[in-house]
Amino acid sequence: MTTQDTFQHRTVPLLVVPLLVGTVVAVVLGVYGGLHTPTGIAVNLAGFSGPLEAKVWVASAALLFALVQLGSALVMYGRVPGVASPSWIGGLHRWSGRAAFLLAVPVAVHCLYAVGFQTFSTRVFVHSVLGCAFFGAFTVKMLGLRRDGLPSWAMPVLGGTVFALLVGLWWTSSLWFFTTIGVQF
Amino acid sequence: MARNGPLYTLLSGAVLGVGLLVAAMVATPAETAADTPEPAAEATESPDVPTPSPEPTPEITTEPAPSPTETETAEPVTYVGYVDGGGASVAVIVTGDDAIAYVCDGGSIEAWLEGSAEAGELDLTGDNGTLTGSFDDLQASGEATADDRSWTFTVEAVDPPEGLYRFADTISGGAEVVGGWIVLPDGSQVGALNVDGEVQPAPALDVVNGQVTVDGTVVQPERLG
Repeated sequence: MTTQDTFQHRTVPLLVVPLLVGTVVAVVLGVYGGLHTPTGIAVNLAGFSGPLEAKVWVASAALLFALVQLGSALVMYGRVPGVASPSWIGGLHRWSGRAAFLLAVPVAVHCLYAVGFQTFSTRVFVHSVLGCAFFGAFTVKMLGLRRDGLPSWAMPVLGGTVFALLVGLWWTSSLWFFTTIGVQF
Repeated sequence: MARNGPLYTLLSGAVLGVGLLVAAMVATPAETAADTPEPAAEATESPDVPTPSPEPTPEITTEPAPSPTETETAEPVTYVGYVDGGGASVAVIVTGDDAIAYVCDGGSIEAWLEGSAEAGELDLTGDNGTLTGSFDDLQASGEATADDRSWTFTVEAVDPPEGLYRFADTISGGAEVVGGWIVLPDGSQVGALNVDGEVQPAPALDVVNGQVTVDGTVVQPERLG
C-alpha cells in the first residue's frame, strides 16, 4: 500500500480509499447491528453491577482519552498560545488515541451484540448512527495517517470528526445514563 | 516513522472486537442453558440485571408478533397468569416456533422478551430478563427473570379479551412510551408503563373498548397474538 509515491501530485483523492473502507466499516457494523437478533446478554466486565454500568464508565474513560487527543492535537498544531510542542506530544497523541479506541471497541461489541442497531427513540437512533459512523471515521483517520501529501486540513478535520462522534456517542449514552438513571457503578 | 502504527491500531481493535464477539457468542447459550439452578453463577456474563431497562426491548415495537402471512399456518396461543407466589404476572404468546413474553410486577419491574418455542420448550431473552420453560396446548410453565428478580410460573391458555396488550409510541410532549398490560382470567390486570426509560405502574386499560389514558392522551394498545 505504498501508493503515496504514485499519487504525490494528488491530494484529496488520496482519501478516496480510506473513505471507502471507512464507509464499508460503518455500513457493515450498522447492517450487523440491524440484522443480528439482540441477545440482551454479552460478556461483561467484572467489577460493575451490570453491563450498562460497565459500558457507561468504559465509554467515559474513552472520552477522557479523547479529550487528551484534542488537547495534544491543539498543542501539536500550535493552537495553544504559549505552549511549545514538546517532543513527547506525538507519542501522547498516538497512545491516548489507541487507548480511547481500544476502550470503545468492547463497548461497541456489547452494543451491537446485546442491543443492536435500534430506532425506537431519537436518542437511541442517533446513538446507533453515531456508533457506526465513529468506527468508520476512525478507520478513515487511521488509513489517512498512512498517506503522504494530504492537504493540511485533512487530519484536523478527520480527527475532529472522530472526536465529535465520540462526544455524541457519550452524550447519547453515558451522559443520558448519568442524568436519567444516576451516577452508579 | 512507524507508518504501520495506525494500521496496527486498527487491526488490534478489529481483533479485540472479533474476539469479544466470539466470547459473547460462546457465553450466550451457556447462560440461557445454565439458567435453572443458579443463574448468577457464571461470573463472566450477566443478563441486564440492575437497572430499570433504559432501552425497552425494541424489536417487539416494530414486530409485535410474526406477520399475518407467517401466522396462517400457526395460530398464536396466549398464556397468561400470575407467577407462583403472586408477585408478578407473566404473558406468553406462542406462534409456531416463536414466542414473545412479557413479565411485569405492575410496579417498577417489567421485561419484554422474545425467543423460540420449539418442541414444547420456551427459551426467551430480552434486554433485562429471560424466560425458560415448557408449554402444551393448555398451559405454559417455567422460570422468568426480570431485572434482578426471578419467579417460577404456571400460566393457562386464554382467549380474548384476556391476554397481552402493548402500546409503543411517542405521545404528546415527546415522551417515548412503551406500555404492557396483562389481562388476567380473574378480570384484573397487571401492567407497567416505560416512559423514557422510567418504569411505572400502568393506568387501567378499558378492556371493553381497548383504550387507556396515558398522560392525558387516550391511546389504543394492541392485543398481541
